[in-house]
Amino acid sequence: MNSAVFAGVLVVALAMGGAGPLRAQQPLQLDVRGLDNGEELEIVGTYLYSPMRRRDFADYATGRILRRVSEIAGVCDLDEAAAKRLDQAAKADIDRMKRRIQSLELEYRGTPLDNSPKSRAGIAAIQQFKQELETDSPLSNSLVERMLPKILNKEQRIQLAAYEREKAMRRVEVACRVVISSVERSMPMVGDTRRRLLGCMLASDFPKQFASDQELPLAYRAFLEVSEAELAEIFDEAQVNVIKQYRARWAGLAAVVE
Amino acid sequence: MLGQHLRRSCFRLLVIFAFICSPLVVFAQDSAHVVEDGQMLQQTDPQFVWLWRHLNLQIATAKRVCELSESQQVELERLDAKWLQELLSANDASLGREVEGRVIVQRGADDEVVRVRARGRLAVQYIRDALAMVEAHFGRVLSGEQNTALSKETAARAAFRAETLAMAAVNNIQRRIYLDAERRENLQKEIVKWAATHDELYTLMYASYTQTIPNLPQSLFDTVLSNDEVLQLGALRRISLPAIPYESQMFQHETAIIFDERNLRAGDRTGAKL
Repeated sequence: MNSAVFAGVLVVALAMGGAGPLRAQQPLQLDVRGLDNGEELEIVGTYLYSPMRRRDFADYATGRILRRVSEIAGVCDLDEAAAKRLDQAAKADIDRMKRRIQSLELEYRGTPLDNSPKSRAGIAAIQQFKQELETDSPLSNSLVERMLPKILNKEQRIQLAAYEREKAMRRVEVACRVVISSVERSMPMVGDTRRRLLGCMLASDFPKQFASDQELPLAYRAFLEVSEAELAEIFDEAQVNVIKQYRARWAGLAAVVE
Repeated sequence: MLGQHLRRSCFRLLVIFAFICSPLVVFAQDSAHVVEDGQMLQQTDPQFVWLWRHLNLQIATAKRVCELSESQQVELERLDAKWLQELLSANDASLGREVEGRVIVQRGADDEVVRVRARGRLAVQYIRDALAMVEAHFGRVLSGEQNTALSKETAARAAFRAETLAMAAVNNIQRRIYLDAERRENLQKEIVKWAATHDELYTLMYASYTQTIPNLPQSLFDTVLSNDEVLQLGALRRISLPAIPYESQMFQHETAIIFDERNLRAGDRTGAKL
């Protein structure tokens, strides 16, 4: 289905209160609590600020840059000069972030939420910006990121890369644990078997960087990649049989990894 | 971009739905042939599926860790869905709860909220009673040593989930706040301790995983985070809010209410953790 048509159907369905399980919930895409002017179905209030107040949003957005700076400073033990250069780059990024919010607001404020080209373009631009804010990967075109090779020495760059890898692996580990717990709802694992399975899954090859919505597909893929020999070593035949059923069921979910 | 966003959202919903429903389908199919219609607890009721799954898991765990004798195995296998349903019905009749339950459900039939709340209260009661019955039966059938081995396994399963919950929460917090290894570990420990007071760890863990900040008490953060960081966390919680209904929509009404009214604490009648 065409995206615009699908969006239109979704908007109408939500505005009418929906049916089935959606009925009990607030319409998610149409949350207008962020609006200052009381207008409903206006894309800036609906998509950009929601669910925050307008004045809080800039702090939220720039907080992401400050977190990155504290992370770099905390991991790399910067000297005074390097810390100062990093702060200057962060200030420039914060200014740019504020300008970006302002330009989105200037360009699209008052645009009604409908299927017009401007509305669609505005929603797409805002969604791209919000996605960038809400994921853990470095901001695009960030001065802090571009300055890092100049600010950090080789050892510090290695430290930062190791920290980032460790953080990514913790995200994958959680997803793998969730998959194991899901299997355990049907089949109990006893002794150290669940930790051994976790070890096998974590030994899979994971990409160096991945988006947050790829964690679970990657965990499914790791679950599928545990060899039959490894499974036979950890579990008895009946358990392996249950695991095979789950693997068949989840094969499609693992295939989504980009 | 909009299309990509929608596709991603749809995929996320599909994953969540498949994740939550797959074990339910397995056990609903298993129990379909033994559960008869017309009882208070229906085969399609989530609380029945939950109990049935718990029963099966405990029997399967006992078989693996307790070195059961032939007679013990026979005694435990007697605990099928029908046994559970009969036991619950008898218990309800003795307490007069069946009548009360039916009246509540019928009186609230025109009002979805009242009906669902009434069913939620009954569901919590059923689960408490049934868990106590199952545990009592295990207690009678198994020796002290075997019961200890079974409890140890149940506790290990709960600990794994509590750790996962804590890791998921800390990972999400780290999207906004830098935590060094020491602070991360301290926060993780605090969350694990807090999780030990909850029963439905699977649900809690899964909800925590989905890129949101779970509804953890503020006191957990006060000792680990600075005031500024607590403010950032508040912002992150607000931004996480729209994601939460996606997950809660995936639970059926009764199940969601069981979790909302989750008052089963460790040290309660059962202390069981799934």
